Amino acid sequence: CTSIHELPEDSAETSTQTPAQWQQHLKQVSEVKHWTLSGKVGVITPNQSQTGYIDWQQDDYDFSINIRGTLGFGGLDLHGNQDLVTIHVDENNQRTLPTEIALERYLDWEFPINALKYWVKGIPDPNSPVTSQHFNPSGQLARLNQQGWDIRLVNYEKHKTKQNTPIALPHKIIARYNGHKVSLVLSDWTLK
Amino acid sequence: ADSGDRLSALLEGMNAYSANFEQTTHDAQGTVKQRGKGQFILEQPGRFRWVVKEPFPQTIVSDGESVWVYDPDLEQVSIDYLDERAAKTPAVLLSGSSEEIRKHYRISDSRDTLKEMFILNPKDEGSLFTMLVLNFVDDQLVEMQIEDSLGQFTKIVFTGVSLNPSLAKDTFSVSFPDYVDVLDNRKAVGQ
Repeated sequence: CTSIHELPEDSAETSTQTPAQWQQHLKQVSEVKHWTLSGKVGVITPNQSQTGYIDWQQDDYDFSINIRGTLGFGGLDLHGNQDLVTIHVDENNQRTLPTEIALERYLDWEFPINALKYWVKGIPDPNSPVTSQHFNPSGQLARLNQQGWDIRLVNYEKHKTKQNTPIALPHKIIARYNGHKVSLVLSDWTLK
Repeated sequence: ADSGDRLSALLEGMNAYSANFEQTTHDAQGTVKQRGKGQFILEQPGRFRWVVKEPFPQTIVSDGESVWVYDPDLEQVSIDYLDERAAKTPAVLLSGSSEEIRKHYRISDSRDTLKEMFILNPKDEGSLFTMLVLNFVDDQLVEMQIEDSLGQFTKIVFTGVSLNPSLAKDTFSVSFPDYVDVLDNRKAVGQ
């Protein structure tokens, strides 16, 4: 069974020195505006914790996110854009709320959809300042502090954009914000 | 005997049970959303180990009093009292007493030449699933079906069933690295 003193796989050294190819990587990843990811999500708040499967489709500013429990039930559907999102829990139970605060208001989850859509691609949210950023030996963003969140980005894998240029995207994102945690482990990315 | 008694007799017959399972989840339109595989070990009363191997490992273990849900990739463990989880995890139901089941579910059954089917509809509002179906063949659980309020439908097929398996000592416990976040909800209940 797992040894108790194992370290998470990304505790290798990182540097705050911006790598040469970072601007180019940032530009390429920012141009990817139509994508879907699927994997598993974990949410911890001071008084609850959930895990489940997630499918997230992003088309420019519009997104649809489905989260369901590991046995398939106990899920929710979210459809919206950066301003408003509609949350469906079952056929006749839906709410429309500002995207910025929707999941905080509805489920007491800190789940910043507008920022996460950048963080999951391994880049900062361009709409707010970066407090600090660290890069792994391959020049990818390993750690980011933004909007009070501390984000670890791990397990980068190569993918091809629509124009066939290779880009590296993270397959594990762990984000913390005073007593809250959102973790995403991704089985696959599709770039359209 | 009413369906409740018959189901209880079958579950009691499962006092020690182990099987592999394959899970498929469809959305309301019937498209496959999720496939998974794993292993399930049950020892009455209340002890079980539900291990998902694919697509992402997850271990759910109950020692009869508390339930641990460990997701290694998400670096996260949550601990609840067993009866708190009743509405959330069907596996808890399989290890529960028949009064527990009758308290939480309306039970009906139907039978054909091949199998006995039990349909459970939760009585309590807060339940996350709207219907649970348990299929038995030759008195052995072979399939579980779960439907939720979004119309998502999950089917779990059990194979390689063995009754009274020999169990390792640590079957109903789980260990994890110390960097994992542990959320012990039992404290919230005010021990």
